[in-house]
Amino acid sequence: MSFQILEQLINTGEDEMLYKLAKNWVDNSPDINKILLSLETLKVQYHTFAMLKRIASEPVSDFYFMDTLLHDIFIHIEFTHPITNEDIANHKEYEEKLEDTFSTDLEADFQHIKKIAMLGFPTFQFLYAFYSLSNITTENDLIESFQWMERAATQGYPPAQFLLGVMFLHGLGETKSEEKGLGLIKRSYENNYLAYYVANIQAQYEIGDEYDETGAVSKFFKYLETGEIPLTHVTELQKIHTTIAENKKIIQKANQLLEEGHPEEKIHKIICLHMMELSKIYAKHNKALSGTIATVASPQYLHNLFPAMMPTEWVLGLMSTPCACIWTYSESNNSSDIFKKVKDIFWTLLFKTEASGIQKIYERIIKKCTEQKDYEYAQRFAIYWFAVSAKSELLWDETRAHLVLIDSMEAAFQNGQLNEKEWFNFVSFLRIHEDGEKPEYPHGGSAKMMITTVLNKIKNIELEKRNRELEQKEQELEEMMAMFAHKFRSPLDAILYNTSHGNTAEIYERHAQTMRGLLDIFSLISTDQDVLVNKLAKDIVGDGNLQKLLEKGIDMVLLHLLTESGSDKIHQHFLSYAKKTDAVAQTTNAADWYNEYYDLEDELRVAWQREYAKLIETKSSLEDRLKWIEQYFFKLEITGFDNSIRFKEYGITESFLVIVINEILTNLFKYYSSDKNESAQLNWQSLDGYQTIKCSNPSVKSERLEDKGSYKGHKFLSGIARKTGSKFEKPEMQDNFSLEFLIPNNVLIKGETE
Amino acid sequence: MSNILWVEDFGGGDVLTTVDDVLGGIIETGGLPNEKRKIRKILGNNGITLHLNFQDAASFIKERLNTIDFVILDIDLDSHAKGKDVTQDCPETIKILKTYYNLTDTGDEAKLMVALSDLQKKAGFHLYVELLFNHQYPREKILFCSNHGENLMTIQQAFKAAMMEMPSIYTKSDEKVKKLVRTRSKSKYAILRRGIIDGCNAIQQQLEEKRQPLITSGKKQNGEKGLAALGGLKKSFQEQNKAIPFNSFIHSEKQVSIQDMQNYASVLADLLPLQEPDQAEKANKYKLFVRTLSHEWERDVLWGKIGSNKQRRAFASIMKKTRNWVMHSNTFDHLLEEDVAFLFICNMRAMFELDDDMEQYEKKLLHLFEATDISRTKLRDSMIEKYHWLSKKLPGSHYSVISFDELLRRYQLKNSNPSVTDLIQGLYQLFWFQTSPGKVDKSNKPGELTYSFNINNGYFNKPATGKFFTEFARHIYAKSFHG
Repeated sequence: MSFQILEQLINTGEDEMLYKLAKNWVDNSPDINKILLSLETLKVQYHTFAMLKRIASEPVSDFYFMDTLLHDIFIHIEFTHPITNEDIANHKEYEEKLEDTFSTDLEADFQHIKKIAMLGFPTFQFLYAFYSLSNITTENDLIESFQWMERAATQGYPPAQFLLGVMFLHGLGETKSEEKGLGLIKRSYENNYLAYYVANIQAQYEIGDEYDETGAVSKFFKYLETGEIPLTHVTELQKIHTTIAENKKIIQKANQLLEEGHPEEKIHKIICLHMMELSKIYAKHNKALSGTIATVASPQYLHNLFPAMMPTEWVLGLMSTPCACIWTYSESNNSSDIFKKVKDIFWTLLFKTEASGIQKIYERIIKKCTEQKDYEYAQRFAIYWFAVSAKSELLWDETRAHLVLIDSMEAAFQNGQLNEKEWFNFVSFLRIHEDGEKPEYPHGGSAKMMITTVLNKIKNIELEKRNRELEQKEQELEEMMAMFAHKFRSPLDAILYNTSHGNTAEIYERHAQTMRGLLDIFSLISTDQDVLVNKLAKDIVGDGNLQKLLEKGIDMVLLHLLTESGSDKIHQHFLSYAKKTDAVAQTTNAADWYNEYYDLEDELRVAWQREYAKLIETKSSLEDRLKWIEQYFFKLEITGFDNSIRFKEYGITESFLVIVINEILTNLFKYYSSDKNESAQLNWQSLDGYQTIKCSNPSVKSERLEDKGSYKGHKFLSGIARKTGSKFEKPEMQDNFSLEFLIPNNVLIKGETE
Repeated sequence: MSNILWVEDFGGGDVLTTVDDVLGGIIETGGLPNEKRKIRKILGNNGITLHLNFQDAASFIKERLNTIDFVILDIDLDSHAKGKDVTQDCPETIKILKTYYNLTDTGDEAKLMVALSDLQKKAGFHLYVELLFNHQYPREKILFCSNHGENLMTIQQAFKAAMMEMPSIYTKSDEKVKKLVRTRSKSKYAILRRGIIDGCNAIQQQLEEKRQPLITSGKKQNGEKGLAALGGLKKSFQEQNKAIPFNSFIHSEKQVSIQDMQNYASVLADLLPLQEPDQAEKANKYKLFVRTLSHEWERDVLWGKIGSNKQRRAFASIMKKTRNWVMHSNTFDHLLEEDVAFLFICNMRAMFELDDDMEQYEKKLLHLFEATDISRTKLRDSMIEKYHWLSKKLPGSHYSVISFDELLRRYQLKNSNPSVTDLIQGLYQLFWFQTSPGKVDKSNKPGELTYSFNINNGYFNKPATGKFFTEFARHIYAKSFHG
């Protein structure tokens, strides 16, 4: 229960209450409870616990490894994130750290921990017990927590021995027993756990009632010298350092112990950990020094973090590189930022335990090198990267590493990040090393083989390029067929509607003619480009003109979009109209509209469909149509669609233009979106030897990314442009959406025919 | 009927035709609206969860797959729901795009569009892989359908690249689809499993609803901090125990806690695997299930404390007997789905507080039985006949004074080779004898017996009222007396 309350107090920031409560406990509890007194200690424990939880909640399969790692981290984790007085003063920041550390689904995390605990791993048993202890809601929970703690303690796990002792002292989950409690705590101390705390308490007794950190440190050293505390307990010191002087003192002492012939691994460890600590402190005052210290300390520091993970050499080789290169390539000159980045690497490693985190770092580095055309570095990093990927082999294999690099460079080349010249520069780079006397590969290797490989790759790329062209043609044909079916839908929908409504002969005829025209143009597009252009160029006389063409285009598009299936692409217009007419609340969003108001939408759709069909039956003008569109959709401003260009009605040119206009207008209705009811513009003009159709409309990203078809429209326009000598470039995806199609004068205008 | 997840975007095709093609074998499609959102709602009320796009389906699979008995997948799917911002609201979609479609920056709209378009063609493949590898969902429980002939090549390539065997992909209009959906949906095993899972979930939820206020009030009365809070919790534990009817008729020192019962329900829910086992394995599973189900009944039942609640008495006596037999006999070696369902319903009614109305899970489980109208006279005759028959099997029994319950007990105990069929049917019959108690006397005429039963009127309510007691009786009647 004590932990639960303390946690609550820590979380709510009720420090004063915490102290009062703690004081009360001191007055009424055995001495060992003084361990729980220090707010800092509690926070460190709490934080440690949170981090452990997060690590343990990672879905890893190697529990043996995790168990070892966790044990190590539990003892030393405070090194990496010591909770300083400054942290405590800056309470808000502390809370953020905690929030960041905790995952949102605590229950899921702990079920995972429990599963591992059940396999018998003491660290997880302890962790699960610890969690249960702080989340007691039933009597069973308390007993369960005790039992798990007991299991871990029985296996000799010092933290569990310590806390089980505390539970006995409080009678939590078992009958109160001072003897058992103190016995267990003593055993945990014998097992190297919490030596500092015990020393600290002893120090306090000797120094006086007031808590005195410096006093405790010197007392601690005294104990070390007299042998009252084993030398290995030097690591416990980190828990009380906060200042540069103290850090230096610790490093100095540790070095001294080393010189005296104590080859203790832990001493090495403490030296570098405190160097990192110093680096962190210096980052605020002397950035250059901070960087230097961290550079020196980082390899050892990293090794310390992963003693159980990999062979030393490998760790050092592997990890010092990203540290160094983060320094080298960091965009910021702020050492504090640099430090943060290094820390991020550690965290990635800690939490992922797989190479994926490191790979990402290398990926970034290689990308950066590639951008800067720094092939040598790219090569070095690729080798490291590969070594990470193949960590199970734990061997350098530069040949394979080079292949990784070549792949990376090749991808850059194919993605257009490198041009051909740069690609060959890269090859030349490899050649230089072949010809030169001293190949500068970090680990030697056969440059000749590399070059052969690269040249083969280039050949393959050319081959692939040809294949791609063939595939593209095939795909174009497929798309043409799809578009053919698609464009047929509009007149077909109109005919179907006419069958069940107006049954007007003229409408049948008009749409049947349109369909015939479409058949003609599609058969030409799919076969012979020259014939197509020729026929277009010759079709320059007749009753057809741009205004009529536009009317037909608008009719086709609207009659299709207002069908049940077509309306799936224009939900936003129904919603907008419903808001405008107060049929729904102004706060209704697109998802709600789609999911809740389909009846209302369908009512609107049917009404609009009926109204529009009626409008076009009565031989309405373009202006009538635009007025109607403005009433229900948006204002569409038209310019340039006059009768200056002529062609045969339902002929080849009209069919070609109908397809283009249809595609442009469909895009307009599909992607138009504006809270301010801004207008859209459709413009036809003659410019620089081309007839240009341009449509601009306001849009929003969510509409553009919504699935409103096969995404083939633009590809089709590109295809048809290529076949007719027209120009079309895929529009930029932006809120001021604009689409342009340029047709060369020679296929549309009299006298321009070549 | 089992619960189905159907992922289908209708891709511009006729909605109703597709619904009929796929589900025509299990639901009446005439009169359904030809609009996907309306249909989604109607299907939802019939245990069919329809998702119209990849994101919604992926999110459902992640969170609620355990509510589903089999899955029908389309290949080509919309990537995300209408009106949703894919970059903000669709984490599963973005994850896939980043992992498999080279999307590095969601801010790059053009690349995002290309990635979305590519995903669309293989969306069903990703869901299939997710089901198989991340949820260990049996491939036999997934039906792949498509009408997008042009995408078959893409999907074949996807399976080839993943070095996975491609499942059969059916055209939706293929008659086989209807048949497959029908067979899988109406599998007795699937119905039983679903009914049990839903039942266990309902019980767990009911218990949780009882537990929370008790904890809160326990804390309020006794303070929320320190050891006092622990005392408060202790009291609330006792209150919690009272909330379980089972505790009212067992010894006070053997009381079960709400938490125990939640664990119990959770264990039961996990016992039957999603993939239907073969006959032999199924028999083992059913026996294990009944063994676990009846485990709590090893405690002594204080029959006097059940009081006048005939229903609870009936169900308790069925379960107590089940517990006794399951430990020492082969009675439950060859159970049928309906027998397991019967025992499950009885057990939950005996142990927990359930409404007079049928629970949803009970409705599902009763689908395993055929409802029959009950005739008062025939029922009486059947009961008399059964009693007479059983008593004859036990020569020397003082049949005039013992109950059917006791008669059945002795039959199982004293007969060296009791008929398993009779014993199982005896459990069904216990329901009738306990809810319509009667007595047997010697008649004035020598060698004859008189039987009088107070036949329960509850059996004869109109089925439309949906009362549990009536429906249960109507559904188990045939099994109880006619094999």
